[in-house]
Amino acid sequence: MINENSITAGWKIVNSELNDGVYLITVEATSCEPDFEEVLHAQMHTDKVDHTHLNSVQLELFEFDHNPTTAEIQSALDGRGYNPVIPR
Amino acid sequence: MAHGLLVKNASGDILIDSDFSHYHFLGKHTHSSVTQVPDMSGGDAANTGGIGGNSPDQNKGMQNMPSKGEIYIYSVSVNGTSPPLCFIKPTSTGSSAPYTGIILTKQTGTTWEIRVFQSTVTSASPVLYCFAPLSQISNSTSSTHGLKTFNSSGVATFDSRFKPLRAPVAGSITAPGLAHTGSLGSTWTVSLSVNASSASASFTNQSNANDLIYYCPSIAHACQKYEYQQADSGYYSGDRFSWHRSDTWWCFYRSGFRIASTSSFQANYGVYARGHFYKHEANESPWYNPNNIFAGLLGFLFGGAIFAAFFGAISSSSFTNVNVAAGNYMPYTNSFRNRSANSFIISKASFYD
Repeated sequence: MINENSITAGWKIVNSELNDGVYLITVEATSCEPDFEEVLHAQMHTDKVDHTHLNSVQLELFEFDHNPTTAEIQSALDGRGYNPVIPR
Repeated sequence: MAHGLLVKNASGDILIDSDFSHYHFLGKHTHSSVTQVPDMSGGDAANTGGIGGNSPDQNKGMQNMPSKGEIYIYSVSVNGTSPPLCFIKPTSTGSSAPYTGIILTKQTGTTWEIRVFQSTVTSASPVLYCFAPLSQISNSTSSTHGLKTFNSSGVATFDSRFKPLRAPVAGSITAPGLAHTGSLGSTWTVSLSVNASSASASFTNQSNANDLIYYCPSIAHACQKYEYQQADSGYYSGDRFSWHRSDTWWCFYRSGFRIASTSSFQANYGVYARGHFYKHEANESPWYNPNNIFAGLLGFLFGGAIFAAFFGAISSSSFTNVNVAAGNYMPYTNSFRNRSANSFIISKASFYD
């Protein structure tokens, strides 16, 4: 049996705090490589090699003067250069 | 008041009150030692050498971490239970001066240990101008004139011969929230230096910034961390590989203050303590490992169970549990505390030199 670990790109809030009128939002942002090239992927299954996509998880901290919406957090992440896809 | 002396200025501010225990000059103090909080760093790496693919091995120490400030330790003799009021004569003033604040006042017998945190390391050292209630000052004088007051119990509360504390300026200042704003880092490069804009409080213009001393204890603090992890596994140049690395960097900041000009007092943070922990595990082996071939032969000879073992052996490890263990590395994360307005008092060294 082989393990094919599935990692999903995206982000989630891991801590949210209202402190002195400032909303401190800590976000965990995950990025993944795109799918394997098909022939290589098939070969890894043939060879029984565990595999996953290259993935990274990075912590980001944002300050807001109001309770942010999902779109505002996404926009803030974009402003930091967050890319859910790790280029090959 | 039924009896005693109350002196006010034209604005109605009280200058002398015989019922109040006024503070008087105790003396100038230089530090007895200097220290820094040791770094907390370390990691756990297993089989990470020579791993193919793209296993990351860089920045496993304190690279790119901001420099720590230093802590000056003073011993101030005060004959009594009231703590001394210690004003800081900073090492420099202006917009590039370090931030300095008292972080500890602790009594040990008849002396008080005062700890002063300065945001950067300098060759010069801050000097303390200390004050105490008159009853706790053991100075004597041959001067026979001046003004001395007593409270209703007959205890001396003010004596002009012993340099009473004069405070031409007082105000309040609130430290910034977070010490570091913006991105915390990028991949394996941490970015936790203090970059918050200084908070400022203006005061009545004084003639010489370098003559000013201030009392304003460090109360506010902040703690921020950066975490990054990567994982990959698969097939690389005929070998199977798997690796996972996870890192946590953090800084604990204390507030400090500086005389920015003849009319501006500023607050910001310095790095008081810092740390970096990581965990990194990896594995790599050739597809045609001789042991695997041997196991395969056994499988051919003896059947399914060992044949299954052959496939099990050829599968590469997968590190799904490589995270920095939760621990008491820092008191809290990505936040700040005690950011209430700090009262400050400014006096002049020349009053007491």
